Amino acid sequence: MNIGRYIIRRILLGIVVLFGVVTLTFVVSRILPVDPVYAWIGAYGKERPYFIELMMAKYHLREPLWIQYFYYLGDTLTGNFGVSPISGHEISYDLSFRFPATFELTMVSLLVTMIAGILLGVISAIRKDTVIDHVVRTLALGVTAVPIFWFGIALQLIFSANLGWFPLTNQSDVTWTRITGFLFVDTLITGNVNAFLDGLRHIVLPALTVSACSIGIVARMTRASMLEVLNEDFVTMARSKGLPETAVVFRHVFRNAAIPPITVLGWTFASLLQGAIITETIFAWPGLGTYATSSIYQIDFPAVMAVTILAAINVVIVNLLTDLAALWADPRTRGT
Amino acid sequence: MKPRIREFRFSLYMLRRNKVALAGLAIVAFFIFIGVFGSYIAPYSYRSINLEEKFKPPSATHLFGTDDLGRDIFSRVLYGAFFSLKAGIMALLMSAPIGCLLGAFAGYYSGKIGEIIMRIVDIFMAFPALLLAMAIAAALGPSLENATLAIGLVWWPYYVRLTYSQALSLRERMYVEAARSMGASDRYTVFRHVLPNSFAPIITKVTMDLGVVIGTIAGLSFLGFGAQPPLPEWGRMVSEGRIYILSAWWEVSFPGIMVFLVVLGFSLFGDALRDLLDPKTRRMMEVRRWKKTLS
Repeated sequence: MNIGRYIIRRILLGIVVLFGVVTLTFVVSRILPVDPVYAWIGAYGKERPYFIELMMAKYHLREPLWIQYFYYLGDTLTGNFGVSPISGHEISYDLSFRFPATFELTMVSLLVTMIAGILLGVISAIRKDTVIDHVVRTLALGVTAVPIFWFGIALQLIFSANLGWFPLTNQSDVTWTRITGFLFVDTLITGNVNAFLDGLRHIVLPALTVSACSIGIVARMTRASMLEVLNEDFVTMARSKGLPETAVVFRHVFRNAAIPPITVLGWTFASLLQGAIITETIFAWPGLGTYATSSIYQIDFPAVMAVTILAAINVVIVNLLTDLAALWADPRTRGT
Repeated sequence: MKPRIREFRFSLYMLRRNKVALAGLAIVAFFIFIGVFGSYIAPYSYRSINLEEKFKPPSATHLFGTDDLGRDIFSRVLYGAFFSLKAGIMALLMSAPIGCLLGAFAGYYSGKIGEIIMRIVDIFMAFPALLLAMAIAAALGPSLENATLAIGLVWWPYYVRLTYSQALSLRERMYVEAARSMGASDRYTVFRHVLPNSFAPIITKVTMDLGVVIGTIAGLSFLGFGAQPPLPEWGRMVSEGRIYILSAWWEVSFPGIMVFLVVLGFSLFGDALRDLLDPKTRRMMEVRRWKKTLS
């Protein structure tokens, strides 16, 4: 079947891109004019030749390039990114703390983006050319232009410092036991409702900051898509059948109009990731964004490599999943 | 009237009618004006420290107030326009031409070469631009120039994609076929036929990107990887003023508003440009106008 072959092609493409990403980072890491001793081993190794030899062997830095590449591939697959010369831990250990925080932030933001964006777009489309429509459209346009760092600070100022509705920074103020590392999962597992709610309170402002720009884009897309579908013949047909307007909108129009916004889920995710980097700095969120910023600042070479690869792999996988999801969502391609 | 002049005057007419586009154009024009002439208008230098005057709220002598070192924020914002404008233009000058050339050739040749180039572009696009720019700027040493270079280095894949799809559709056109049958070389066809006819979407994208790039450079400076003190780059000013936000809100607000306005202006204007230049929407506008003359 055509669709099956397309799916396989798409997955293979994803794997090729993943390979390319890892290869590119490898090439860049070996090309950069950085003193490998300082980069991988840190200042500690500068005076200690035995330590240098040990670490060179660990990272296979003395071997020919293609052998290094082979080990690099294997290490990336197993999640072994080496030891951070700054923190002294295995980077995978540090990441295991940071990744869940960013993941939760991004996922909540994605949810908010989709729900708010699609809702606003639908409302705007059904009430076309009314005050609501104009207000939503202006807001959507404005919100895409606001710089993330300023928006976050403004939210902090208004809703935290002045109104006191939400906490200013951080992920939580209550202690919670780490099992998986994901706050919302762990607090539910241990039944720590207090921490769960506290986590929710802390995530509101950062999630709003991250998703603001994307909400505007999704709202505009949804509106345009809804308007297009509303003009189709089958809508007139459904209305002439005597169906109430709500049924027409939700059963027929919405299903078709929602497809384009879902297809941009992948791109939205990539831009959300970037927004998260800045937002985490503003809200002192203990995630990959602050980790990346501080690692880059302190020139923690292995950590920067690790974060870059992780981010890219994340983007590729999410794009792949959204492409497949778009195929599934569009009943024309589903094949039933 | 000659057709080209008529078309141009129609464009101006449509622009006049579109209030939103006019607003965008006004903002863009204003921004370019203060970017170029800001240093002459500014009442103070951007680095004149005056510790007696620190933390003064907006007043007649200091329109936007003063910062923690007594520097006039209004002047700094004006100077900041110059730095942002320069940085944005440089970054796009670096990335757009190379990206467009690469994409045009990739699309024109199509087949295996085109596929391979597009896969490589996909790989580059998998990396979040901000992260890459941060790493590059940090590796080279944080400064506005290096941040600009970093953005220039990571922005080209978008242009490759754009011109690739343009070239793919254009190579089927009659005039391309005609040129090739007359013996035109590939290079000639691309430069003479494919690229000029891709100008519309390229120019639209460059316009909108200018705002986005300026916003991104502001973000980089905010994080500390771009402009360093005492440079009055808007993002940098926001991060510097952040500590004092509760007592001196003016230091953070005005640069932020400027970034917002600039991004908005270019976005609105780019939207209008796209409607004007895209042949389909333009034809719609021309038909509607023509219909009006009938009534």
